[in-house]
Amino acid sequence: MGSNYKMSYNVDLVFVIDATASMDGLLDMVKRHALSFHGDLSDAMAKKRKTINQLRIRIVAFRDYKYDGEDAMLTTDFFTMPQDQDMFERCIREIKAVGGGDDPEDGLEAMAYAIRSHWCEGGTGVKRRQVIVVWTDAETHELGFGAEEPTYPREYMVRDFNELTAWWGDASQQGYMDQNAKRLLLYAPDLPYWNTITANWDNVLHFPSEAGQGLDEVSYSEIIDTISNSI
Amino acid sequence: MKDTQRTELNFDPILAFEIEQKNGQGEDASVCLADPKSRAALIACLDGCGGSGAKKYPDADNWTGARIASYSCGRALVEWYERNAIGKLGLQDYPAETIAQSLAQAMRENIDVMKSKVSPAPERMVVSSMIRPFPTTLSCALVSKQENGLRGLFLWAGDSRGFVLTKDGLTQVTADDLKDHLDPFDNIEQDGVLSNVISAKPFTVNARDVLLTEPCLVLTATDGCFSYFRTPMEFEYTILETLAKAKSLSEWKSTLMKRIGAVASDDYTMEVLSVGFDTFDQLKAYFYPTLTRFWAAYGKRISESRSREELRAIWDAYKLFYLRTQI
Repeated sequence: MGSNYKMSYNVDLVFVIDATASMDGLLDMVKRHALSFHGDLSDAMAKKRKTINQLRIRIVAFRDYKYDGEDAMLTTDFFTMPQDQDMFERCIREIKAVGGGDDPEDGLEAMAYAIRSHWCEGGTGVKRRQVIVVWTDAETHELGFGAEEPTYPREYMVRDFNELTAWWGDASQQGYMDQNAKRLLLYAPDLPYWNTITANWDNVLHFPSEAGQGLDEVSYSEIIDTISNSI
Repeated sequence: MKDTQRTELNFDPILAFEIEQKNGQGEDASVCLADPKSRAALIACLDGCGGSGAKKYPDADNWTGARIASYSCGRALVEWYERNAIGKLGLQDYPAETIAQSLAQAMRENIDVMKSKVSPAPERMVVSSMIRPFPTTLSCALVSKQENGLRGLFLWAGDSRGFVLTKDGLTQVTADDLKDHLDPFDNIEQDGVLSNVISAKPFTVNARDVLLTEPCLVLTATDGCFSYFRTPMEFEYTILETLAKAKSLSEWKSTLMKRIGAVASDDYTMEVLSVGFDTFDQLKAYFYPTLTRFWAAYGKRISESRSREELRAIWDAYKLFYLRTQI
């Protein structure tokens, strides 16, 4: 065995952020949280001597196809850290809380984009973590609520919640993510469909609140440890 | 170990370590009850599940549920062994399933006591099916004298493992409780999700009986010991190579700990019981041919310059013995 060998981790994070007007009072908190999350996760893994080989972050900011047209869904490629740290930070800071129309938003369409990210491969001597983190203060529309709008991605999008559930996958049928590596962290209210996801999908952590408001240090530490360790 | 010669298969606890990665926050525990004068012995390793048991309990010095579970279940294991006078009476003819159910009940009662004693921090509730109250794995090996040799009963829940090392090589006696039934080779990189661990949720204790009729080592270990090598073969190789190079039992323990510690990204804990050896030199000499056969079959540097596909081909051959169903 090579003397320099050490198992390492490829960690992919996808940040799904509600960028509608109702988030105005919360967005600064969410941005701070998003900017520090990968560092906190890396620190927790380092304390267990888990070495990160590659850390990448992608952003999906969502609103409402019916009211926001071309600005309803903003997605980036993965930023590789630390090389792309500046670009990542700039991108987070540029998110504005505008639009959204009615109370529910197109959070499920945003989940579809997140689930179909180009996740990292494993490889010899490399374990994986694939983590989606959602910040929102609102329930979701039914999938396809804005499907009549010209900007709606009809060709790409799932037809209904059952298909989205299949994209997430379960023990009997793998979806787009690695069944063992995937985690979904919801900072979302206890409202449809977020609570439906929590009740029915595996590997989900849900902190029921408006975009993580009221998150205390103890709960945050528990969340980070749950994500960084095996389950 | 003594220098006297014995004809029967005596047992002796020869090696144990319990190493934590974060000082004072380790989630592994171990148990060794092995008086050589007794009819039976027990070794066990427990690994509190840090992912699903991350909740902290201020009533218990802010320990996580995982740490509370492994330590308290270790103590409950000792009480169960003593309450049933297993050291004095041995396992007798009790079926493995009966013993497993008895142990599971003792673990359940212990978890119930923990639940009543400590309360979690009053934080906002995190909701998740991943979270289990007081989760821990358990790998326990009971060895009991009987007329035709030694009965070895392995009891486990989760992915901590029990092994037997004979002159023909290492065999994993336990089978990991994983949701997607990954084999040990694939599980190293895929980090399978556990389907069954001791916790406040329903669980089972698995059991497997083996008959030990030749000198061997009986091992229990948490996944920190074996899950961070590139392949399962390297775990056996490390045990054999460090044994062959050591001049004493303490040197073997020290180098084995260092070699595992160099790759481990988790707490790592091991208990080893020797069966049928009187001296360290005897033990070392007995397993040297095992190491030379290993070298002949797989080389001295198994992973070096080999692709995953080549390693898988080696694993496919290796697992015929490593995962054998007849011991």
